[in-house]
Amino acid sequence: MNVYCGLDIGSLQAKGILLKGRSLLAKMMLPTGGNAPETAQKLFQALLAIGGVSPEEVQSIVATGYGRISVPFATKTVTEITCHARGIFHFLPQVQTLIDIGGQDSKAICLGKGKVMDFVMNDRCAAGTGRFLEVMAQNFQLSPKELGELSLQAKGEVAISATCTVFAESEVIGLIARGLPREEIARGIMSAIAQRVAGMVNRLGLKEPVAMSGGVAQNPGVVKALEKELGVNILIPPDPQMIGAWGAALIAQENE
Amino acid sequence: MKDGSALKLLRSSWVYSFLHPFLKGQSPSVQFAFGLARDAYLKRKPVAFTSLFFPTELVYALGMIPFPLEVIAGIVSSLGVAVPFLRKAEEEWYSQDLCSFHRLGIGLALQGYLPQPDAVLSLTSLCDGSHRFFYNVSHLFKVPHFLIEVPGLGREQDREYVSGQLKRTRMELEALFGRRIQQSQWEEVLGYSNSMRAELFKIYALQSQTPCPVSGEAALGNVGLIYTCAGSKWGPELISAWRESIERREDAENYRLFWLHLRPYYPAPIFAFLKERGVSIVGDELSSYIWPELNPVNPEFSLTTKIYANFGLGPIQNRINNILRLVRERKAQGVVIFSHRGCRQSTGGAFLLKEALKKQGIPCLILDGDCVDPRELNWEQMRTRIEGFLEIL
Repeated sequence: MNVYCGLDIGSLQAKGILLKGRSLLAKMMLPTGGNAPETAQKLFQALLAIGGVSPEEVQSIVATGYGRISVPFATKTVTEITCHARGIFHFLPQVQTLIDIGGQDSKAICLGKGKVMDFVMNDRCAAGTGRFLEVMAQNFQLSPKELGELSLQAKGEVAISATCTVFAESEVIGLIARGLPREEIARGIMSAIAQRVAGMVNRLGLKEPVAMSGGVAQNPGVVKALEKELGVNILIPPDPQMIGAWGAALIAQENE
Repeated sequence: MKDGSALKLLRSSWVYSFLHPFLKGQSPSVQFAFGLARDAYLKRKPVAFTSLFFPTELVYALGMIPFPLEVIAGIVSSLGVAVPFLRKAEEEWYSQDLCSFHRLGIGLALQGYLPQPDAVLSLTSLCDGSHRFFYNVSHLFKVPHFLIEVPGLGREQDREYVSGQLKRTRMELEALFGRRIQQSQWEEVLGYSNSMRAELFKIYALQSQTPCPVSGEAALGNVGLIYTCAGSKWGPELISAWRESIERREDAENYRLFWLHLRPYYPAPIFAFLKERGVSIVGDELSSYIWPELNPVNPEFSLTTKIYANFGLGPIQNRINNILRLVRERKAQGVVIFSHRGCRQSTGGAFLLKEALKKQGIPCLILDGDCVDPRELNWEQMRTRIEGFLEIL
């Protein structure tokens, strides 16, 4: 039975895809938690249960994400850079630039026919990542997605000058306390993330079409702000958070 | 200045006498480092704190001991004890944006871990922050600072200007220590430097072999030695011993990379990881420094030519052309630029280098990091970058 598995063990979420040939047999997402090997095992078992296959039937498993080395039963490990590139090529083969904003890092990837030509990752701090968005949203007692939706209602924008997550948080608390419109502060947060990420994209040289993967791609506020900052439309694949796991599963299949 | 027990050991002649018998059979680099520490801390000869690119031939000809502070910072970092010294410097208002080699040097000085120098010698060549750092050090130790200003373009008048400064520095040092350099001393010292140069060529030939038998980690580790031993009898011996220690390589070579700038010196898994992946570092720009043969008839002018042979100096195109040549000669598939935070001269050119390499179809990874401050290492991020880069190759 030609069953292949891709496991993307991210810093916040663990995602899994089980393929039979090119068809999706099962998909699953779990919080990574504090024990990545255990989560990876749980995720794999859940995928097998949903897909109705036994472990012996799985021909190859590719693990990716920051927790990729915590998957002892993986056949191979591949970075999320290559896996996201492969995954997006499956859904949107025309894409030349991919932006992946994950829980604790963000990446801009330059693609050529599904292969990584070059990439750049955020460095030193969490600005421009999902975690930054989460911390900011907590100040509004909203989810990151709700914060993004709130930002779309804004007529203006309150600039956030700090790039450090902690300093930006205190800046935002101060702005809320001053009674400035919440939606305009939210727009400012989206712009701050967009500026950071656009800086990485421009380092590589922007090439269209541009797509976005990772959990933050589901946030309409960030996508809109990035589109404005880069001056392009951004394509979003179905289930953007699963793209890395898709890529891993496809690589597992191709390596066979 | 504080005087801890480790410092007391460094300054105890008994310790050096006790350790001396154990030196037999040790590598020449260990013997050299031992002799340098002993002579400097026990003040057997006048000590000159030197910047990395200062031509040490002048120091040896004067009968002084070069004490290269940036190299010492690298050694301290490799021993895993850098952080308390870095913190000490930061507590004294030395910014974290300052190059960590210099911050660590200041920390060592402030904690009293350096020998008392007699002079401080530095160049403005390549390293932009170093002359201010060395001025600081000379102020701290209350000794004269001899600064050689090196104009980047290297025109004829620039070379004469540098040569004149070297001559004046030599004369002032001769007056300071009441000794004159004899012609025979120049011949001896420059002869050692030329022999070391000849030995380095043999290493470069080995680095071009496939698979490359030379450890990139060792080559990068030897950068400090190459710059400190030039002009010493140890110079050719050390490089020759290094060559003899290189064994035929049996394991698979999956990738050949050329390395720009320096490497992290603190204990970090980076080179073990590269080895595990079958990566050969087939050379690096700082240990691939080749100068023209030195001529004792006009030593200062010859040393000026040596200073200008460093392709990191002057217009960036010079560095780009030489790197492209080396990448070709060493048959490298890709280039890693280790972008040391705080190093303006290296990071400033990273983009242009990357672009030039890209035009030639050579993938390039800019790896942001720090050479001596282990607090700046985020291994998970670095590993993903390296792995991602290898996957591109």
